[in-house]
Amino acid sequence: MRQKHWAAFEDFARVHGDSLVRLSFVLSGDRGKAEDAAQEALTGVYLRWGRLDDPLSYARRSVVNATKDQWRHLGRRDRLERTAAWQPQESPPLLDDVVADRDRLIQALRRLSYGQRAVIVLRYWLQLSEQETARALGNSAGTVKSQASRALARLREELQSDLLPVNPKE
Amino acid sequence: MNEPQLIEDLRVALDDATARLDAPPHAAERARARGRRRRATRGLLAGVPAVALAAGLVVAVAAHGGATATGATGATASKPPVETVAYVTEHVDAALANADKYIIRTTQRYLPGSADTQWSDPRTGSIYMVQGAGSSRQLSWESTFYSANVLHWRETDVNDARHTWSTYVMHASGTSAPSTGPSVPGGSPAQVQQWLKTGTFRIVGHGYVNGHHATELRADLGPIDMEIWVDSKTFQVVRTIKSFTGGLKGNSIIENDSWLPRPAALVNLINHPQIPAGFTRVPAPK
Repeated sequence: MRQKHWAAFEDFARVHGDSLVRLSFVLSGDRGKAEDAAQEALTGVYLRWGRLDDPLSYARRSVVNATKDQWRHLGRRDRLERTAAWQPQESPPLLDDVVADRDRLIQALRRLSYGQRAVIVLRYWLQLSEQETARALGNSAGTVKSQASRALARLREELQSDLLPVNPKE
Repeated sequence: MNEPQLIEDLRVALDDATARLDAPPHAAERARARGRRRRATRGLLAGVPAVALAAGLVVAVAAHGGATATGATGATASKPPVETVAYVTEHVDAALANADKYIIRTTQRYLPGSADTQWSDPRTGSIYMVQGAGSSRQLSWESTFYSANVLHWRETDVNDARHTWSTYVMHASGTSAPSTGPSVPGGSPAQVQQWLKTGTFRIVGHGYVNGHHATELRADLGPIDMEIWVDSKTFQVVRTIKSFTGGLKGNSIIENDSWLPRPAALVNLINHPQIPAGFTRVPAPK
């Protein structure tokens, strides 16, 4: 790789490396595996640098697929334990209520299927468009739209018993 | 819980939960080393001639042993540009001039234990705020408007614990002309603009905060020490930390700002108070 390309790739890794780790982490709940998935995605981008139209989209897709593979290889019991053990990294001790609400949301997210979770994370947390989300997941935009709708409905159901309802309008 | 609020709550939760997760150090160099080893391995598996094999081994050894030297070169390439406070201030001003293209979400934490989140619409100056959590949560909407050239404030509060809501309107004592153009409410970005103009700030470094590569500025403003982080590329304010000195030493207020797109549902939520069904209207507190 020429120096010019190396500098551009290094800049890419510096700017997007953290977000790739975070993406994998919210999908899997395992920091070590998240770092591995992000590193693997960056390696893939490095090997294809100069030939990719959209390196970030490629990297995201790599992370989603690598994390899915890791998730698939876990047994059901391991998945449940991983879900239960998933804890936020930063929990100020004085903010008990806030932390409890946040945990309920995250636990509800973790109980979604992998595909629904990935749609929610990409579409609403990373704020990708339906087309960008579809590219990252290898789906069609229509599938993303329907999955997002179903996932949000499922999340609302999960939370309904825990949180006070706030209806949109009287 | 309505959909925009659920999505915003999720964003806040995931932002907080991943705030301290970073890529491993030297991720680019590791990718290069792995990539080179993989290429070399592919060459071996393809049964290339001995010459190619030797070349592959040389590449692999160079990648393995030469990581430090190449890392140093890479560090030079990614060195942040030289910045001055004047340069940053100018660009922060420019970013604020474009604030009406965004919704600004500010999450505020302060001791002895509270966290509020507010969403500001710079186009209208309206604010939607969520204070506390669980059964003690309170929702507020604040907006300003002019009537007969007099500035009015309207605040609507919803109390989850009591299942009540109230609204009241205040007005300025004098008259003033309506403002023109977008305004940024009293959130941290507009305050930062004023603070930066005091000329007391200095750039102290760069780091990764609130999901952004950011430039850190600091100033001693008497009763408080101010720390401001602005995105190094967009110059949008992403974090402010006010640390009190003197009698309040040890207390601080941390505000994380996110510049969000303007989906219609979120704009509607911020600008139009939404009273939960079954809640009772009560007189506004005096």
